[in-house]
Amino acid sequence: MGRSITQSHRWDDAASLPFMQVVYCLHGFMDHSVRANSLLMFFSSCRDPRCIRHLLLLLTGMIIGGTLLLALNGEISWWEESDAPLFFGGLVRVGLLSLGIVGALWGLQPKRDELPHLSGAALLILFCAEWLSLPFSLLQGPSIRGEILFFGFLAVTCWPFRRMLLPILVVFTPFFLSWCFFRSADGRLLFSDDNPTFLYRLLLLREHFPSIPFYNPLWNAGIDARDFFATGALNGFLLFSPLIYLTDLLSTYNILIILLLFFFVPGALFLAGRILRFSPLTCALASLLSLTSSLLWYRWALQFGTLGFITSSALLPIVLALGIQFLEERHLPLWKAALTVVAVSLMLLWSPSGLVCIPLLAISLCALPKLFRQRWWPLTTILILAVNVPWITLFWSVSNVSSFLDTPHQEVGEQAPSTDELFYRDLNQEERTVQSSRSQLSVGTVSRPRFSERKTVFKHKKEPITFDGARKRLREALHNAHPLLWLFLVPGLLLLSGYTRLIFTVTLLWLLGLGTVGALIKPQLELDRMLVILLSLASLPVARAISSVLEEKRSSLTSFLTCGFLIAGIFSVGSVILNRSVVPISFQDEEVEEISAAVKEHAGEGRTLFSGFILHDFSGGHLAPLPLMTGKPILASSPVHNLWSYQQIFPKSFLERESEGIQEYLDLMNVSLVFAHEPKWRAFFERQPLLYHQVGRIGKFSFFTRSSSPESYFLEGSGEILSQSSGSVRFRLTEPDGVLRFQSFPFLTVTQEGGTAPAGCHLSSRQIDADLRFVALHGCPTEVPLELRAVSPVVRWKRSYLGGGGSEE
Amino acid sequence: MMYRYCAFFCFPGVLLTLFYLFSADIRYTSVVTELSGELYALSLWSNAFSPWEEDLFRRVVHFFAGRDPSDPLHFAKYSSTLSSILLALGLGFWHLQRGSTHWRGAAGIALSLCFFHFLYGINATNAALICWLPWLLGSCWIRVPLLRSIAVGSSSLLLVSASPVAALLFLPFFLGEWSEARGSTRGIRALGLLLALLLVCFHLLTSTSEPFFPDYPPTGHIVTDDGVAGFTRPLTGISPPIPVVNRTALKEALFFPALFLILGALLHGFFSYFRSATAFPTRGTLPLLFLTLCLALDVLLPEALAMIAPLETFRRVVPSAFLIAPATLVCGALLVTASSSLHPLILALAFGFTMFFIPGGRPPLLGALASPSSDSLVKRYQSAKNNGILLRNGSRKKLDEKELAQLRKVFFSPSFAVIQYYDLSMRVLLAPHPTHLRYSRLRHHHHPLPLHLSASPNSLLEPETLVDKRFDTRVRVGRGGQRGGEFLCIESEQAMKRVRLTPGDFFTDFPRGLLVGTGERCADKKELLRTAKRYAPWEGSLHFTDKGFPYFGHQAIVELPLEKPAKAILLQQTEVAYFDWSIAELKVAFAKRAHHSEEEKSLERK
Repeated sequence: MGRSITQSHRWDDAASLPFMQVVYCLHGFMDHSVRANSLLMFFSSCRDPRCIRHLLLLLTGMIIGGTLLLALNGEISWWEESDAPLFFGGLVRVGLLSLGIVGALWGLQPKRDELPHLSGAALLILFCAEWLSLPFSLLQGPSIRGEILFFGFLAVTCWPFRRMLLPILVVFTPFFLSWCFFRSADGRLLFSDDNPTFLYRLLLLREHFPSIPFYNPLWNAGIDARDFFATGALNGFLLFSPLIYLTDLLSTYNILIILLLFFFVPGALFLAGRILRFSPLTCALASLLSLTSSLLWYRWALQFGTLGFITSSALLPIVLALGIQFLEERHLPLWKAALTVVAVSLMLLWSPSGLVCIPLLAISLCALPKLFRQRWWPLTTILILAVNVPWITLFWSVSNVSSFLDTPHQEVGEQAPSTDELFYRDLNQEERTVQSSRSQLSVGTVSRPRFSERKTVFKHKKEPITFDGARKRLREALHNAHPLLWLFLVPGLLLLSGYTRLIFTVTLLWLLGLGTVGALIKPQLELDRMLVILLSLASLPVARAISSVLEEKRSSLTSFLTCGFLIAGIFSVGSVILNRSVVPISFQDEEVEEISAAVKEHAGEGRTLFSGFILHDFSGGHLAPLPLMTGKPILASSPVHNLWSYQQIFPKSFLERESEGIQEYLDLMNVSLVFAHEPKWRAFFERQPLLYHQVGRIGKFSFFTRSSSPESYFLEGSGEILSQSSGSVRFRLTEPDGVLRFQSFPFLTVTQEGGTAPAGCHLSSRQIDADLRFVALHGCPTEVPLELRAVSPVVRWKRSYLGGGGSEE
Repeated sequence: MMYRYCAFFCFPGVLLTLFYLFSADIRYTSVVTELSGELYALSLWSNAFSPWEEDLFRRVVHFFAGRDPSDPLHFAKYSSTLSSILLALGLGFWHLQRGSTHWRGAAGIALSLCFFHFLYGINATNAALICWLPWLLGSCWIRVPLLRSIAVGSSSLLLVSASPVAALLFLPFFLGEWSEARGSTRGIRALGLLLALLLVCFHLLTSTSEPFFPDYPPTGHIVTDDGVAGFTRPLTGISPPIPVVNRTALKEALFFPALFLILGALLHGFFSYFRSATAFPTRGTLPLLFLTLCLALDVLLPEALAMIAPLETFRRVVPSAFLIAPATLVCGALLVTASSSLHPLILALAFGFTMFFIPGGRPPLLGALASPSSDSLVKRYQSAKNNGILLRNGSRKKLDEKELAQLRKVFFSPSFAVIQYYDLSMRVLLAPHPTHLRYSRLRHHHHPLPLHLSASPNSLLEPETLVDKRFDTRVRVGRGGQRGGEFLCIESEQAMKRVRLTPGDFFTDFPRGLLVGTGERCADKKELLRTAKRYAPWEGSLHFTDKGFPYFGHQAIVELPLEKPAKAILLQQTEVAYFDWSIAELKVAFAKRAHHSEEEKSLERK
């Protein structure tokens, strides 16, 4: 039975595109009714000027793809990474090719709806090039080409039903990725790198919000718990506060991650698209692309656990969309104004996100008269300032942001030897590398412990500002990215209009500058993340370009490859979540439970110390939540990932005196249980069985109880520690004066239990060592429960800006 | 009429039974083992992973009862036979539904079934999946709508419950049916398709349990290298720590059946094109052509390209499909369905040609029977007949529960391929395996060396180089390249129990195949060769994990324990390769003078 006439007509229409010529020909060969003249039609249609134009566009697109690869990589190899390069591209060659492309585009004058086909042809080059086989690629080749072809074929087969199937795909994807995550987790908590730290911060916020920052005596004899501002933990906390307050976060943390990554992020993109009045198809595509933006995205989210950054990045498109609406619309509704206040405030809680909005602010300033005509604009601005200025100023003061920005950088390999190395030489400690997973990004080797004379070492080393340096950063980011996001970006931007096009273009260029050049200038700001934001933000314009492809009546080479890449991206992300990529994701293993149990059982009333340098040794994450898991105070080099070089827990002055000094330090800190995970430290404690009794071993951690420890938190004076919590120390004195073995800070106060008024004590610091000061109490009431805690945030703010009480550190 | 109906159901079954009776060896080709008087048989020829994970009744029980049957071994033992009978009955049912009641059709079914079993042996995976397919196809031909719906629904459910991978088989048919539908039925069929897809998705997501994988080190392997760098991992579902499907064996075994199917499909298409005035492809043919094309791309292309072909892609995308080889499933299904279209005589000729008259003397079944000690199908049969069983409990002592449990674990693990390769006995599998082996210290300044070495003519043999502890110096065995026949013979005054050859930095220069003979003197080469063991292709040395699972070590390192200590060891290279056979370092372990090491004594006591 022959094909229906309608169908034949459909195929005739399809003959305008080169790819369809081939399909037409093949189909015609199979179809009895048209086979006689199919070849004739194919060749005759190739003489059609439209066909020649399409072929030229295809060729231009392919040259664009090749030139982009040459510009980024410097060479093009086909298929496998190990293949010999076929083309080399110096600046001159890339420049000449670019000139040729400009000429071709000038001559062809492609229409708006033809622009995505240029990117489609570029995709073909990318498909064949070794780009897909590079190790840090999101789409992990060479096998991924099979998935691209498979899904491309499937998409073209189901082309008439794409409007029905795309929403199904968009709904299916978050659930599929959630399933992958649950499967990977297998009931265990996500524990990679900073994830336990983030979990710890959320738990602390649940207890103390809004009284932040505060004094946390459970870590390192008392620390200033203030990193909620810098890390953006607050936005995640506020966003998911119902879940955090109503459930046991230690059990539901994974759900929070899933909600954030697989539902909130695409939801935010969808909402941003709708605010910009994009079609539902475009918005659905944008949300789909946001889920598959880059490997770096999941690296920051799942491996590094920087969820504040992720939340702010997800909110950024909404903020930009609302900003554009303020500029474009005559009367913005109240709900959008209210949403602006909420979105901006939440976004700013990860402070570097403010940098992203600079182009928007600059353009808004230029269009100030327009803004003033908006009914809700003044109120919105005032509310945003009222909500954010207080905490930003407090953050600026307590976190010493200005000094952080001016911190000199440590050039890797230039460190001078320090005295504590003597001790290490005695222990035959060899030069070691900090096994930081983040260091894979750029800096791998850092040197051994150093203290006061050291320069600060950050994740990235300072590099000279060169074109090659910037290009390298861009190339690394694009290797990680979904190819659709950068190949369809320019057509996508060109398909936008008005303020949307302007603001998106300028913001994306600004992000590009920050992520490439800015990261070289201020490495401590980790501005390379701006490229991750760029890729996430690019989802919207790219979705606009892809939707124009999907809205075409006929399938084409572009739609074949685009759909192939799009769906393969989803499965690639699934594979990343299933821990089958170069990005390792670790989950809480039994070791964590066992260590917690050991601390609970053997620590007694004293502190537990982790010797050496502990970074990702706690089931792939940081030790931060251990005090909350055990209820015991802990000492370690650092609870969080703020050290980028080996740093010993024992201060230099104590290490110099070797065993005696270490013993003295342990006494000083009232340590009753010692954990050692580094072989040399294990050997050190094992060699002194009279002083340290080995209780057991959990994985690489050996733990020892001390034969004699002070069993008192009073260095001078006497009294009793009633309890230690994450926000205060409750104690009772038997003498009015005393020195507590807790770190002293200028913002501390002693109150009577339950009250907020000072108890009448005079607080001062007792300098023990260069970096160690204990709390000294004078004239305190005796035999009454007292509480050592931080003053309220308002008082700290007043002290910082209005004086009265000394400056913050 | 009635007798024809009976015949259609019975004839294939009878022929299958006859086939079973006359080819007892074939039924249990891959593994036969005796445990406490019980016989266990399985076929794992292309898949190192345990096939009962995909077993028909286990899956069905799991699907309906929500839990696994208590003893999977019993299912493995009986279900494959039962599924074969189901397959035969299903084919009969399908043919009857199509109105074909000619004897010829029954003969075609019987022939294809025999071929199917000859090719696969008792492969629970494939039999379980394919046995429901003819029921589904037959159900589509039922004329009563309600009955048809029920039959199609239940056979689909059974097909999917057998394995999610079965979706590969029935989805193309559904799509083909759907694309042909017009008018009001299109919506209903669309709904049906959507429901089927949802069912498959639900099943995929809920029924893929984590199988047991032994503690293999990442440097080990259990299947032949497929020639592609790295290890491809699935995008969804379970990912084994090392590859489990032997792609090389699979392609070798399926090459001719695939070729036959493609030729058949082309001829069929060619004749139907000229014979009928209807459009090509006809209804129902397109999915078959599609599957044939998929099979061809998978089997006939080089692995680097086959990796991106549809079947391998399907394997990576669909959960649990990564643990089986979809090509075997598709090939089986196509062979079975081919019986409906082709004349039995053509079938018989094609099967005969495929099985017995293949140039090169390596019929596909040899892939199933691949063993270093047999170089032909006939020899393998003889070996099986002579030995009675392939894996023997030498002492005939009844094994205790602990030993039995250990053996079961090892047999039904991906290590089975290694057991098969080395013809390991129960004694070896149950023995404790030392992780650190001691070799005698041979130094280049020892004069003379306690070894006498001889090699094939034109070898660059400098004995000192072999013991200089340098990986960048080598000895070349033979003229250069590997042409087959190069040999190295090691002779010593003291009996040796183990030898280790390392190519050092020349890691491509390992022997591609080995013949290892032991005896008293190198001069008696014929005698040494007479009892020699064959390891071709050379896969790697035998190692055991801490939990006693055997695996292949690094392919470049030749490390061979000898069954009995010997004063002369002959290593003869058997294959042809571009690279030299080079040895950078040689180590030997001498047996103790008392002839009985502590390890051996303890084994004897055991």
